[in-house]
Amino acid sequence: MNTGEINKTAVGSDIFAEFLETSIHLILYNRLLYPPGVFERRKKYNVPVQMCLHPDVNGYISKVIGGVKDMVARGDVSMVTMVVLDQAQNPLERFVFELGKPTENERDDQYMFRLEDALRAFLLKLSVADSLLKPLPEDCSWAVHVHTRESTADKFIQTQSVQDFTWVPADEKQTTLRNASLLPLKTADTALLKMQMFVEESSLKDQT
Amino acid sequence: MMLHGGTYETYLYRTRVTHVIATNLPDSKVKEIRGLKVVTPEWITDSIAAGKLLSYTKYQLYTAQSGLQKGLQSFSVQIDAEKSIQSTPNQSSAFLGESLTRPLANQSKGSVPRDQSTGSGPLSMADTDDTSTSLPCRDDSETQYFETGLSPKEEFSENLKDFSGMETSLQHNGPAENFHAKAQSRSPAKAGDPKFLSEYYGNSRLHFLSTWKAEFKEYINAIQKKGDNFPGREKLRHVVQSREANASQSEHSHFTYVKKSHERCIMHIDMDCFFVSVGLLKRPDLIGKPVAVTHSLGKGATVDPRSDLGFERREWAKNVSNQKREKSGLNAKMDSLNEENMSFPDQSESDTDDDVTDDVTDVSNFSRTSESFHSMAELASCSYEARKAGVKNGMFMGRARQLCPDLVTIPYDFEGYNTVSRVLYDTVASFTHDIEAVSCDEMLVDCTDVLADTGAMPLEFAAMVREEIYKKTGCCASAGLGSSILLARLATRKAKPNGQFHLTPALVGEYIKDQSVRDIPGVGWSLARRFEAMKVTTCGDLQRFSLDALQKDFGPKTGQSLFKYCRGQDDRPIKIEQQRKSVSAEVNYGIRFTTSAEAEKFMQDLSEEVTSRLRNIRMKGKTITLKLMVRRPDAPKETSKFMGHGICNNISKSITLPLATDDAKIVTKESLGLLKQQKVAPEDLRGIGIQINKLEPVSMGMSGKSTSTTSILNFTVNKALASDTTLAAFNTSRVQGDMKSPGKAASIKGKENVTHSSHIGGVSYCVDIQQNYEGVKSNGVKFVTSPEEDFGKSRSAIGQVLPGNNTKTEDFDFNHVYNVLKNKSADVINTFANDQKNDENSIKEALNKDDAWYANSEDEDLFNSPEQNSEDRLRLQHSPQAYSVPESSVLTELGRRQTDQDMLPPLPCLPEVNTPESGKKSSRTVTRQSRLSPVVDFFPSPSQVDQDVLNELPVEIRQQIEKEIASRKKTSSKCTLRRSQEQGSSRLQQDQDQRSALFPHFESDDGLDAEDLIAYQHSKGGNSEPPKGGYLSPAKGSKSTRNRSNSGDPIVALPSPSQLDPSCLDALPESLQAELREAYARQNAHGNLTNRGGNQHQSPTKGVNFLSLRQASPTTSPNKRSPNKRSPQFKIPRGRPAGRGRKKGTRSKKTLFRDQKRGQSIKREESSARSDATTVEVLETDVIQIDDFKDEMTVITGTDIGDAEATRASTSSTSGPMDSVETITDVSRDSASVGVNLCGAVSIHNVRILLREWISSTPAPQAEDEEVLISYLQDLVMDKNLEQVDLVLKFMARNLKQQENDNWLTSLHRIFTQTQALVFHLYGSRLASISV
Repeated sequence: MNTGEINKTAVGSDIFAEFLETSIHLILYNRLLYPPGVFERRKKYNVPVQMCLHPDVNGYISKVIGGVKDMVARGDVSMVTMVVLDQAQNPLERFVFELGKPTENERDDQYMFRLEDALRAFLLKLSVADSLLKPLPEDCSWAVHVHTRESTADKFIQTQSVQDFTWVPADEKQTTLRNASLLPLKTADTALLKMQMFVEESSLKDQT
Repeated sequence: MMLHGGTYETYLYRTRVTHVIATNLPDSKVKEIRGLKVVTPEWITDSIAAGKLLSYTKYQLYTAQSGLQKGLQSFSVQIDAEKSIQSTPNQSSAFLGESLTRPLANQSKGSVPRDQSTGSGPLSMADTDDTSTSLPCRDDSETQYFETGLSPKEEFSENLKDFSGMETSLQHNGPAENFHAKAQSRSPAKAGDPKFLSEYYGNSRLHFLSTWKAEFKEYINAIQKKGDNFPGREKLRHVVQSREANASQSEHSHFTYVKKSHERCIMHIDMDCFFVSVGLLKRPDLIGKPVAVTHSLGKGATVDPRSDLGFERREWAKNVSNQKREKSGLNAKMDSLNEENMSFPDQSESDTDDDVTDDVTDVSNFSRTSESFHSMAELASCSYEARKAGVKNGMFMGRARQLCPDLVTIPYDFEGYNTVSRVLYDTVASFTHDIEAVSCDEMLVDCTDVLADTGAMPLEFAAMVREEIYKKTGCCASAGLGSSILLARLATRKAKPNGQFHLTPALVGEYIKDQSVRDIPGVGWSLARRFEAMKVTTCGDLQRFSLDALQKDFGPKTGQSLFKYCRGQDDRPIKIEQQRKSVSAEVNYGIRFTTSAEAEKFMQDLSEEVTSRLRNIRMKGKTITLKLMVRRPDAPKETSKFMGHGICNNISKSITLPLATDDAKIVTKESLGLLKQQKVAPEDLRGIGIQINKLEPVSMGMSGKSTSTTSILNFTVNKALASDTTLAAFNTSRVQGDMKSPGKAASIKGKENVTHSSHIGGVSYCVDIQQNYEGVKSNGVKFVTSPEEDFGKSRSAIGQVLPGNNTKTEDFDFNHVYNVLKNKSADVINTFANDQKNDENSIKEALNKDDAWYANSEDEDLFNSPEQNSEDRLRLQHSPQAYSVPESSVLTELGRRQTDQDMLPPLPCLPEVNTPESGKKSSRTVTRQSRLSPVVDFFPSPSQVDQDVLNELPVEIRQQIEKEIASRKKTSSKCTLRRSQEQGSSRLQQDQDQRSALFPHFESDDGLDAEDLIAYQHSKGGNSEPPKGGYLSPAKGSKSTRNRSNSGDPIVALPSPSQLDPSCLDALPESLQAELREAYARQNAHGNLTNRGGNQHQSPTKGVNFLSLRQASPTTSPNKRSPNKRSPQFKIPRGRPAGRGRKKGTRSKKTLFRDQKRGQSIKREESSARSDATTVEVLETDVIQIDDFKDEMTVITGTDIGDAEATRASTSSTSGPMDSVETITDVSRDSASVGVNLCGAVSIHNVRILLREWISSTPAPQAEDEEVLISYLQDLVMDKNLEQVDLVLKFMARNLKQQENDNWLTSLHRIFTQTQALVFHLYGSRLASISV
C-alpha cells in the first residue's frame, strides 16, 4: 500500500488515540491514581505497560479516547492534556500531549518503524517521569482536556449528542496550573504524527 | 489406624508418608511417588485383621516400586489394642492404613480416616501417636457421633475402654505413653481453619519425605561444593593394600578378585527398612520382631451416614471395568473416580462390624470385599520379620494386622530419620561426591572414580561403605552394584536385606531376564498393564520383542528405552545436580468450604505455603497451576471417607506470568483469578492445589519492576543503537584493516574493537564504544606523543601504504568511528543513567585492556597514566558531553580533529586573528602538493586542545603535549595543522584562530591564500573533473584533490584525511555519491572562477559535506553518479541540514556583509566569535540549499545553470559576498521547512558537540553566538520540541557550571531567561529543569 494513499490525518489520529489510551492508563498507574491492584501488565509497542482492569475506568477512558480521536481527526487539536486534580479540583499535574503538524519530510516512515520507536520512547519516558515528579496527595482525581479551536469544539459537541458522553468546556480553574514547572518528556516528529509530551507540575503540590 | 500407630497424611510428604494407599495410580503419579510404597488398601485391613503388620509386598499396587521401597518395619504393639478396639463398633472403622497419603489431588487415595471417635471429644485419645503431632481433624466429629447413633457418653466410655485396653497393651511401648496427652491436645481442624495447613503439613509423612528428598539433594550439593576431601578413601586404600597383601599370601581373598576396571560402576545404597531400623535404635527390645512404622493406632472407622459408600464403590467398580477395557491405563477421570475408593470397606449400611474378614484382594483383582477392619493407616516400613509374614510396606494397617497378628507398630521418628540420613550421606560423601540423592535412605553413587583412585574392587568398596554406615548409624544398608543405575538398582534387590551384590556384566544377561518388567524404570502402572496384556512379566519376556515392535507399540522413545532397559542397558548418568521442575502444595483432604471467603483465605494460605517452599529452594516460578478437585455433580455431598474428597472432577488450570515470582500475593491473586474463572461453588471444592512451574533461580533476575525496566531500556537502546553499531562495527573493521599498516598499537586496537563490537547488549555497547574510542585515541595519542618527525613519517607512511582511497578511508573511518562512538556513548549514558556503574566498570575493563595494549606499545608511559581511566570515568559519570569533551581534549585529537572538521560548524570562534594561519596553510598546501599524498593529522590543532583537560592531565603528558603544540606551531612546515586548516573546515580555521590567539608567535601568512590557490590549482590539474574543484572552495582544494584521486587520479590523492569520511561515502548509494561528486565539480568550477584562497570556499564545501553526510542516511536517491567520490568529512553538518528560521537567514546576511567587508581571504578563517555564528549560518544555508536541490542536482550535473543556481548562488555568495545576501536569504526561507537546527546540528548529539566546541573555544561568549543559541532554542520551543530545549539547556548548565566562568554564566542566565520567557508565554509554566 502506498503511504501516500493513506489518509494521514485519520491514521495519525488513530495512532494518537491508541497511544493516548495507553498513556492514560500508564499515568493512572504510575501516579497511583488508582490502586496498583486494578492494573494488569500488558504489552504495547513492545514495552510493558499497565492497563487498568476496572470496567468503569476503562469505559470512561475509552469514551474519552473516542471523543479525542474524533477531534484529532478534525485536525484542530493542539493539545490533549490529562490533568490530575486534588480534592479541591486544583490541578496538580498536567500531562500534556501536544500535537503539531507533522513535517512533510524526508524519508517516509512507510512501515511506521520510526513512529513505533517514538511511541515506545514516549511510554518509557512516561514511566520515567514518575520519578521526576513529586508524589501526589491522596484522593486525586483526573480529567482529560482537549485544547482545540472553539469551532471544532462546537462541531464536536453538536455531533456528540449521539454518544452518551458529553464533553464540556473545561473550568478555567482546571486548566491553569499555579506556578507550574514544566518537565519536557519527549518529542517525536514522524510522518504521521508530530507530538511532544511534557508534564507540568503545580507548585501547589508542595504545599499539600 | 490411629490406634495402630498410623497416621493419615493428607498431603504427600515424603518424609512422612511411608505408604501410599491406592488402587490405581496414573503413570505420572507413579513417577512422582517413586520411592514410596504403593499398596492397596487391603494391606491395611488385612494387617489389622491379622493383628499384625503383614508384608506389604503382596499388596503392592505395582511392583516396579519395590526396588525403592524402604525396609520392612514392624507394626508395633497396637495389635492387642487393635483387637480390643475392633470389638467396639464405632472404632472399627478407625483403622486406616497407616499414614494414608494421597500424593496428589487427582490421585485416588484409598485411605479415609474414619475414626471419628478418635478425633473427637475431650478424650479423643485414640488416634494419637507420638510422632505425628496431629491429625487433620474435623469439627463435626461430634456430630457424627450422634449420627452414628452413639451418644457421646457411650462413645466416651468406649473410648475409654479402648484406651485403657490399649494402654495396657501398649505399656511396653514407648509411644503409648504419649497417647493421652497428645490426644487431648489435638484440636480438630478443617480447611479454612487457621491451623489447618500447618497441621496438615506438620502431620503429613509424605510431606516430610519430599522435603527431605529436596533437602538431601541440597545437602549433597553443599557437600560437593566443599571441595574434594575424602577421608574415607584412605581407609579404603588401607583395606585394599591389606587385601592385596593377603591376596599375595593366599589365593583366596575374601573378595573375588576382579581386575581393576575403569568401567563405570554405580552403587545403589539403600537402607534396609529404614524407618524401622531407625525406630529400632530406640527400641532395641523389638529387634527381631515384626515391626512396622505407622501412624495408625489401630482404630477402626465409622461410616458417615451421609456418604454413599455404595456410590463410590460403584464408581470405583466402573473404573476398574473401564480400566480393564481400555488398557491404555488411567485417564484423569478415572483417577478422580478412583480416589479413595480403594479403601471402601464393605460395611455399607451395617454398622461397622468387627469381622475381620477382609478378603485380601490383590492388585489385579479389584473387587473389594467387605473389610471390617478399616484402618487405612499405611505401613511406612516394616521389618523383614514382618515381611516374612507377608506384610509389605505401604500396606494398610488392618490388612497387615491380619497377616501378621504380632506386628508391633512404632511411631515415626522424623528427627531420627533425619539424623541417620545425614550421617549416611556424610559417610558416603567421605568417599566420593558423585552422589545422587534419591531419598533420605537411598542414594546412587558413581564409584568409578573411587575405585580407580584407590584400586579397590567394587564389592570391597561396598562392604566398606556398608560397614561404615552400620558403625555410624546402627542401621543396615544394602548395596547393589552395577555398571548402570538400572543394574545397580536391580542388584540391590538381590542384595537385600543387609547384603551387597555386584551385578557384573557377566551376570547381567541371566539376571535381568528374571526381573519383573515393572522394575524397569518408566514402567508404571499403565505400561505394566499393557505388558500384562502382552503376557510380558519379566524382562526376559520383553527381550523377545524387537526394537521395532516395541517402538511401534510404545512410541519411539519409550520403545527404545524399554528395549535397552530390558537388556540391562542404561546409560543414564547419575544426576549430581538436580533441578527442581516444579513446586506445589496441594490439599485435598478436609476441604469443606461454606463461603467463598473461606476458600479465598485458604488459597492465600496455600499460596503462602507454596511460595515459602519456593523460597526455600531459592527459586521463582513463572507458571501457576491451580488444581481443583470438584465434587462431581452426581456424587453425594459427603464422602465416605471422612473429609475426603470423594468422587471428583479434576480441574487444572494454569496461567503463566511474565515474570517469575515467589510472592505469595501474586500467587494468591493469580490462583484466585483462576479459581473464579472456574465458577465453582465453594461448597463443592474438595481439593485445591497450587503448583508452580517453570522455575528459575532467584538470582537470575532482580525482582519485578526493575528488571523489566532495565530490560526495556536495554532493548530500546539496543534498537536505537543498532544502526549505529552496525556502522561502528563496519568502521571499526575498516579501521582495523587500515590501521594495520600505520601503527601497531592502532591495529591492535582495531582488532580489539572488532572483537568487541560483536557483543550484544547495552554494556557491551559501552565497551565497544569505549574501545573504539580508545582505538581512536590510541592512534591519536601515539601520534601526539611521537615527535613531529614521527608524525610526518607515520603520515607519509600511511600515505604510502594506503594509496589514495585507502588513506582517505582511514581518515574518514576515524572520524566516523569517533562520531559514532560519541553518539553511542551519549546515548548509552543517557539511557543507562542508572546503570552507570556497570558501564563504568565495563569501560574500566575496556580501559584496562587497552592499557594492557598500550603497555605493549611505545606510548606506554602515556597510557599507563591513570589519567585516562579517571577521566573516562569522570566523563561517563557526568554525561555524554563530558564524555566527548575529554575525548577531544585528550590526546585523542586525531579523531578529534578529523571529527572537528566533520562535525562542527564553527560555532565558537576566536576573533579573527587568523592571519597566522595563512602561512601555515600555504606551507601546508605546499606540503600536500609535494607529497601528493594525504596526510593524516593526528595531532589536534592546538586550538582544540582544551586547556582544562590539559590541566588535568598528568604533568608529563601535559608537557609533552604542550611541547608538541609549540613545536608544531613553530614548524610552519608541519603540514598537518595547516592542511587541516586549509581544508577550510571552518572549524579548523577556528582552531587556528584559537591557536593563534593562544600562541601569538604564530603568524598568519597572507601567502596562504596564494598557496591555497596553488594547491587548488594543483588539485584541479590533477582532477579529471575540473568542475569539481570549482565547486569546492579552495580550502577544499584538498578535498577536491581527494575527490579527484578517488575518481581515478591516484597521484593527487591528497585530500586532507580529516575531511574524508570514506565510510560515509561508502554507505551512500551510488547516486548520492555521484551527486556529491557533482557538487564537488561545481565547486571546483566555482573556485576557478573566483581566484580566491581556499578559505572562501569553505562554506560551500561544508555544504557539500553536509550534503554527503546527510545523504548517507537516506538510502533512496534516484541519481546515479560515479561512486568514487568520497564525501568530505565535514562532520559539522552532520546532523541534518536544517533550515534555520528567519533569524538565521538574517544572520547569514549579516555574516555575509561582514565577510564582504573583511575581504575574502579572511572571511572564513577569521571567524571571530561573531563571525562564527554567521559563518556557521552561511554554511548551513549552503547546506540547506544543497539539500533542497539534491534531486535536481542530478540534472544539473556539470552545468552551473538551472536548478543548481541556488546552490551556486549560495556558494558564490560565500565567496563573493555581495551577491550572496539575497540568495542566502532566499535559501534560508526555503530551508525553513527542513527543521530547527543549530548551525546545522539537529540531533542533540551534534548540538552538544557544537556547544561544547563553542564553550571550550572562548572564555566569554559573544553576544551573537548567544543570540544564535537563543533563537535556536526558541525555534525549538516553537517547534514543540521542549525535550531538546531541555537537553540543550541542561547541557549548557552542566558545562558552564563546571567552568565557573562569570561571563559564561551570565550568558547562560540570559539564555535561560529568554527561553523561559518564551516557554512561559506559550505554556504558562516554566521549565522545571532550568534554574540558574
